[in-house]
Amino acid sequence: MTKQDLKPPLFAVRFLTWLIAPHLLESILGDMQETFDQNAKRLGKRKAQWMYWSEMPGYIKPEFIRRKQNTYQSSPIISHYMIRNYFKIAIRNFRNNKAYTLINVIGLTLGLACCVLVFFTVRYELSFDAHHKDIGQVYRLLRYTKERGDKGLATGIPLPVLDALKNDFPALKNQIACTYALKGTLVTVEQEGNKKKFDEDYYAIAFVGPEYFRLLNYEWIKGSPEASLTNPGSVVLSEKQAERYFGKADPMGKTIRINNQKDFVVSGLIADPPATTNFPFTTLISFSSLKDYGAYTNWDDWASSYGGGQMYVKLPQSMNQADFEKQLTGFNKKYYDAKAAAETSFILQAVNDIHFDNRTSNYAGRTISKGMIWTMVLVGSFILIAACVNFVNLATAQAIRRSREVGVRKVLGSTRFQLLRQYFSETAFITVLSVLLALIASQLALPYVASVLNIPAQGVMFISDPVVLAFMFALVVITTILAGFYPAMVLSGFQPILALKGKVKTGGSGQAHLRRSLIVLQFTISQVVLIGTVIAYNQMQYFQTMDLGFEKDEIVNITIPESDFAKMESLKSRLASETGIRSMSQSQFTPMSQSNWQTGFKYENDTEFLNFEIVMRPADTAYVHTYGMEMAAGRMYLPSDSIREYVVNEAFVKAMGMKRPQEIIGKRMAIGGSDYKFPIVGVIKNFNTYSLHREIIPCVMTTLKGNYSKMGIKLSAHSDKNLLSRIEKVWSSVYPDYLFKYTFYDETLNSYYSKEEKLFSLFRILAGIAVFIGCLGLYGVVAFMVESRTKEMGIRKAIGATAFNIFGLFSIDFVKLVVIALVIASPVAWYGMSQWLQDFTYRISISWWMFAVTGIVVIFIALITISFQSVKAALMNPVKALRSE
Amino acid sequence: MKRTYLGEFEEIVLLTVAVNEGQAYGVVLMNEITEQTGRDVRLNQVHSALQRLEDKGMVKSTLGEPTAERGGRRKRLFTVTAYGHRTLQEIQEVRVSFWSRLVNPFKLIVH
Repeated sequence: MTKQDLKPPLFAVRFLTWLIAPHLLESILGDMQETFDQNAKRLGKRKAQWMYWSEMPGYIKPEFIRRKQNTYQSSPIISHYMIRNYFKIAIRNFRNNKAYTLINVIGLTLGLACCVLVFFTVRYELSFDAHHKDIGQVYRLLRYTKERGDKGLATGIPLPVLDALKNDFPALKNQIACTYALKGTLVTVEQEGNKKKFDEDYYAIAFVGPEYFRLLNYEWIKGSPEASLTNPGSVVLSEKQAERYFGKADPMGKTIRINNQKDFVVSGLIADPPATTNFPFTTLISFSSLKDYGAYTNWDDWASSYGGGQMYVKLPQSMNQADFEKQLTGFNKKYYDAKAAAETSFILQAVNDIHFDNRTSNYAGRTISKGMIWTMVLVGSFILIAACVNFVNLATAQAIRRSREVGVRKVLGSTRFQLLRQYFSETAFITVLSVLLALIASQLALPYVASVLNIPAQGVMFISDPVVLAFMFALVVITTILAGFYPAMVLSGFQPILALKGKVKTGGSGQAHLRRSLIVLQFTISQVVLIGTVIAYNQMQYFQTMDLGFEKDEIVNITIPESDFAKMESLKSRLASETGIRSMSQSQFTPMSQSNWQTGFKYENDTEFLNFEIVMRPADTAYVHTYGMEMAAGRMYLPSDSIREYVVNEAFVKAMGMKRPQEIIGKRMAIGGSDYKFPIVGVIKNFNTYSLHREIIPCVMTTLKGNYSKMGIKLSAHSDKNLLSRIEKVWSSVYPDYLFKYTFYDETLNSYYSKEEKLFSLFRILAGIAVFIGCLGLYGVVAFMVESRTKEMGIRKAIGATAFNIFGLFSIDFVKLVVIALVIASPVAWYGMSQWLQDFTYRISISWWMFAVTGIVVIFIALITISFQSVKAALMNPVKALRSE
Repeated sequence: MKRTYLGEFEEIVLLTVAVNEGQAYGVVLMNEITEQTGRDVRLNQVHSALQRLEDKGMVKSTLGEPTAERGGRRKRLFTVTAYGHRTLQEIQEVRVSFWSRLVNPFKLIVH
């Protein structure tokens, strides 16, 4: 029997080795071996093996399996001595590598600050109307015209629909509410003989009935829905609004006057609505007051609607959106003729979606698409990832310097777990520092970002916001893991012998590839954002410089609050005597306007309305001159108070199927509900009627003095600063009951693109940050390369390389990476931005030079970044480099 | 009288360790117990009992020198601690006192 044959079964030994705690293993296996040998001698090999096997299950017991806690139990798992040591080493390390630490901290701070701000914004956007109970069951009624697609969703519902709905759906009678909100309203409060005038610019005033409060929750301070909003002539104010109107005095029982027409008595007080609501009403008037409120409300007209007059319904749990929409189809057929019912239908929109639906407007006047929110989340996380990438890059590059430390620690008995813990805690230290700095930075940047994103952020303190703090904590954990894992694994994985000899390679091809890929990733991110910015900038420039068909500079718009012809004439004649005014014109709209009057018309001998959209521009004869428009054919109409003649635009001529503008002159047509036909006397050159999101629409101009509500005043080149105050004086003496308001027309037009403008400025900031973080990373990696190749450079110089050669050697490598990043970034940016441009009817085409410019700029920035270090290497004295052995 | 509970098998193992002072390790103990009691004792039972005795503080162990016949593995040699000795003593005293109070001692059956 040879020794070989006397071995116990291998598998059993392996199993026991795995099973039994290491401190018991040796003696137990030894005893078993001894027994096995005895048995083999006594009973034979086979029997001995069998007995060995049968012994095995007996060791599956906790007392054998349980590992001993620690060989040197005296030191606890987290010893404060070690923590202190880690801390000390970390501080020394940071001090010795100030540049690296600074790069890491700045990079992470920027990335984290972006994250905090994105988090804040996203949380704000997602919290709209979330405070109402059961908001998921509340829907807004929309009138949908299929033919017009996304633009065919109307928020305004004809008023008679309300009573019909309540009649036809008795079960929902108390769950249907109409909100009829007013915009641009004048509120007058009389106090001790003084008239105080307030301009309510936005939808602050709404007519609502008690049932509105069954749909949405409000906190009542005084009064109740039934008691305060049932009777006509009563109004409920929010606290802030009450204070604005009446100061500290008790508002109950006091009177406010709306638009110099009707008085309302304050009968209740509610808490201020939060900023995150699509129903920002602060003055609620009883719905029963609407019937005799004013001229706009027509309770028999099933066709006309007003965008501010909306209807809401709260469905019971048992009914979903589709159920009720189906029932509405029947409702639609019942009240509308076949043609109208086929073309338009009633649909429901969840109140939860109002804030995110770009196709419809809302009382808050602002929507943001879910896509936009996710883009922000994406960009925020990308910037954080880019910052983490820097950290990983620099830390692995630096690892070689710390290899000796790792070696010594390992020799002295550090386990890998302890080393991991140490390096993780170093990362956590930097992260915590960065998070604190980021908190301060984002707090400082908040007012600016809030104004860019149109978010109210006054008084928001991140420090005291538990949700933000929880998010910060999560960020610390995530960032530490993201940034710390790889370097910690690399460092703790060193072989102690190699590490002590200084033979550890961090320039190994695997890690070098990783570093390169990470740089490419970073530059891809920053170039996508940068290309986006370049394209957005060009689009904005295009808006600014595009020929709109009229002049917008040096024009002041003021309002005409009453259609009193005598006062209008008086205003005009008194202003005419002021110096500095070149010309002025009274009209219903400015040439390019977001409020529009669209109507049907009958042409020549037609008896039916023609089926295309036209917009009306009622204006006096000075309109064309004041706004610097040009006639294409014919003449301007003659002065008149009502419709006598028409002037149309070129788009109208084209829409009627004529080639030359002259052809249409002399043709007759009737607009709106009227059957009286008047002649077209002139054609005006095309001008943009809507914002540039839309094409030029056929337009009809005529005289209709009763509708004029605006006055355009073209200033002459030498008008003085006091002109505006002189205009105000004249205006106020003509309309003493109203509040003077003026706007510069070019600013008004710019505000149409404020959404884009804001997006653009946001992009600009993000692009800056992304490029900056990318460059920080590049700087760090180049610095490391220069350092680790000092000797090589010394030899190259000794052999005869010029400084330029060496500079090129470093640069070409990284320029290549930037170019690769550009190649990846271009299609991504191209796709994203062409989606964005789809929104505009008038848009630039994306061309190759935009990518080229971005590429050149980024390469240039990268070269500058690289040159900080590589020039140092190029100019270095080779003797010094080679002597250091 | 309060003391740590000692099972019958544990007591035997502890006694065997005491008897084989200086030479007490798994295999020796197993063979000894088998010989003395005639029971079929498994090695893992001995190890398990030793482990429990060590946890209770009645024995302590040291690792011996590696020997070739065990595949170079060291023996774990057990010695009885003072506490172990006292426990054995106490058990013995309890038994003796019970025996002494027995009015009709059993007749020994001699084979």
